Amino acid sequence: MAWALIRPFLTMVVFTVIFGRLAKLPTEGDAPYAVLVFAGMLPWQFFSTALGSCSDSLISNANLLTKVYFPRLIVPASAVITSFVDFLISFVILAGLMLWYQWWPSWRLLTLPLWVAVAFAASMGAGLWLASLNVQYRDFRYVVPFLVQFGLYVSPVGFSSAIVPEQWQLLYALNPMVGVIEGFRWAILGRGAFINPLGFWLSMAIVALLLVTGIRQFRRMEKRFADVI
Amino acid sequence: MPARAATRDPAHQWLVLEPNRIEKQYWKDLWRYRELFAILAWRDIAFSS
Repeated sequence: MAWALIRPFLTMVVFTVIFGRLAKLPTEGDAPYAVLVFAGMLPWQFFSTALGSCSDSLISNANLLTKVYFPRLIVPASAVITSFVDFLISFVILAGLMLWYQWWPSWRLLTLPLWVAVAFAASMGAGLWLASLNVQYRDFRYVVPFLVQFGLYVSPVGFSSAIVPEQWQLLYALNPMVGVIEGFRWAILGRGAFINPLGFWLSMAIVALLLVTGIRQFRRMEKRFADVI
Repeated sequence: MPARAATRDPAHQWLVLEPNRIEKQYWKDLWRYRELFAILAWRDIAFSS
């Protein structure tokens, strides 16, 4: 449990110092840079932890899968729930940060459950793809850490989406986590939060596509899991 | 449980038993096994804390 607090807190400190103080990147509106970073860090930590545990869930429950029938979707779904508990614990830090900076949320905070649901959808979608592929092709376990590391730099975790040049915004929005993080920031930071409407909806569409295709792919490969695992 | 018999060669008859692939049934099963879902989630939470 301590790691659920220490890891995002230390990452937030490093990102705030590097991007906010040294690189002097702008924040959104007049939000403190630490709150901006942490509002992006929360969904990213949830996504990355869920992706890792989801992709590994079938392999680590191989003895269960080969013995009895049950809908296999239960296994990756339970892995995502575990990551959600870490997310809730990390939320305490955000509350502490907002108190520290005297940053009071607006009515938009009420929409946060919606963004949590979208983060769930993105994590499940990508997680189901990787979980099913991991059973068939074991090399996929090496892809996950790379995806997480790469994703951290192409997602607006340490910086605001507003600094991405206009001509790159659509390409940038192909990353499903861009819409999720912008949604979180919109809800937490309130006034002054940046959202590119076209890019945002594109990102939401990618999340929906990822979830639908993830479930289909998982259902298609599910029959063979017990044989190939 | 749907069963299908291959009758091309009467000497070698195969009876293939396939899992029920009706989509609605799968989602019903998912609900029926909700306790297993809770047990797996709780196990992982208890293990990580």
